[in-house]
Amino acid sequence: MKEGFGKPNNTSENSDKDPVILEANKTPDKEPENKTPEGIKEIRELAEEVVGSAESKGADLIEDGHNEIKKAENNSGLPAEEIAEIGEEVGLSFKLNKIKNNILELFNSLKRKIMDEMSFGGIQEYKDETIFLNENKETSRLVIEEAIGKRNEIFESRGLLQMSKEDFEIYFASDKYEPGAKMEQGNVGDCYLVAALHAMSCSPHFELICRSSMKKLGDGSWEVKLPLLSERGEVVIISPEELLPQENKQFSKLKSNGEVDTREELRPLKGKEGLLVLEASFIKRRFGAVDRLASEGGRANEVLQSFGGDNFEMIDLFMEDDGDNLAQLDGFQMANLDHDLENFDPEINMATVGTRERRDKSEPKLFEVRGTNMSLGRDHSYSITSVDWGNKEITLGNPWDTSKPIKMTIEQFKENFDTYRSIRVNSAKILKNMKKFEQVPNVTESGKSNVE
Amino acid sequence: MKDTNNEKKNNPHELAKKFEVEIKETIIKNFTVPSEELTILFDDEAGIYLSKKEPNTLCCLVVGEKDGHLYLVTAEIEKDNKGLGNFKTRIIS
Repeated sequence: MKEGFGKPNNTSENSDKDPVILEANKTPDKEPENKTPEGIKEIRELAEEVVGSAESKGADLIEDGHNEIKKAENNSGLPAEEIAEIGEEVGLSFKLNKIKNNILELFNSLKRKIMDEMSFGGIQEYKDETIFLNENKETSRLVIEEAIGKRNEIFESRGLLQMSKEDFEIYFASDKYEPGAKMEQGNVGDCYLVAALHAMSCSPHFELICRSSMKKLGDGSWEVKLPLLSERGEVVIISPEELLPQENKQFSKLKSNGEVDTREELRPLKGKEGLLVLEASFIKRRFGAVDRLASEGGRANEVLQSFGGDNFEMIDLFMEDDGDNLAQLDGFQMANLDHDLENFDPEINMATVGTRERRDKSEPKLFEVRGTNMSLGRDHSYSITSVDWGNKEITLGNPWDTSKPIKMTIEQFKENFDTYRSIRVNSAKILKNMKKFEQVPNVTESGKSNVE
Repeated sequence: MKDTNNEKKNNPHELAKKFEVEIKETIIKNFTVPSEELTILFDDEAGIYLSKKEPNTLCCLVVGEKDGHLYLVTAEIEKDNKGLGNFKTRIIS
């Protein structure tokens, strides 16, 4: 029997007034059929059996795929080294494993959905105004929040936190804006980097990851270990000068798009110092120096992988050829995308999205979202800050100013974006990477020792 | 009564250790995760605790080593303080 949160309210005195009212588009104002305990049990067992059987068939198909690859490799007559090289280049095995993981996640999600539908007072994902639950819902939510607090306590007690909480507040925390840190892209074409930073800053893990991997030194420079939270990370030192605007060596010269570069200087993003440091450290690690020109144009998932290392797992990537958009994905890919969006949880996921490139110079750099007075940038990256699947709405962060979130319907999102990149935070890896250390005194900028 | 409550307070880790199998089984039944991939956070003080939000409830944090999820398993402490029942679970992160 599925153990969702909340107990059956079958001891209620007014049992004919069951407190669970189903959402309007399911069975409004009506008790679902077969809601007797025996009926529930039968349906659950059937659901488990059917989903389990489909899961197993999916896994068998993938296994068959692997066997076919092996057979083809053996029959090719090529030397093992060459086979390995081709295998890596084509990446068939990797892709098959990804499909397998996606299938298992989809089925798990389906099972949970079925079980939640059947439970009397489980954890609900419906809006409060459409569902009235017994008192256990409120209790359950408190228990979950309590657990999240305990998880953070574990991270705190396990990690060697190089940066004090006080310093994190000074160098990273926004005063008012949530979710995520407030930042504005500079005059450099690194929207993909700013979008990735913003997506990261929306995660509850952001503070602990930064505090474990970054330290301000006595001379004002910063020491950053990349990937963040990795013992084998590469140390990158960012000097105060590297955070300043830099001379543009391409000023008044022609850019690759045929336009003249009118920028005398190249400016970093606007925001708290810690965010500038993260921007600069990615660029320095990637290009060998904080070369803002070289950093123009890139992929947000590369940024997230660079920062997160094995703490982050790439879970999905959807791209369409120029001219297409996400609304034109095929059935299987669309199901995967919908599954991702439906289950998007800032606790677990970070995602960035992108609009297609301009076809030519004559195409405007901004375009309107059909049926609205909203404008989006062409060839521009955005971060996903939240998804309200019930209302089919998605909220995005714009690197041009993340304090002005953009809300649109899921349908509008699919029609206007052609790229979706998502990573999942791997809590097991984070916990493994945050081994237990003794706390060490940490000197803050004020010079006071701050033993945690 | 005070002593009983203190006994419960001091022994959440011990209680959880006794019911390690049931804790893991709760996750296995709901999320199809093999038992060998699950690690209960016994070594962390905050890994096993008595809930302050729901009375007589033991809470356990369990890591899925392969899937990377952090699971919460809750169970009601029975009146004799030696048993656990009504196991429930969900993914926390």
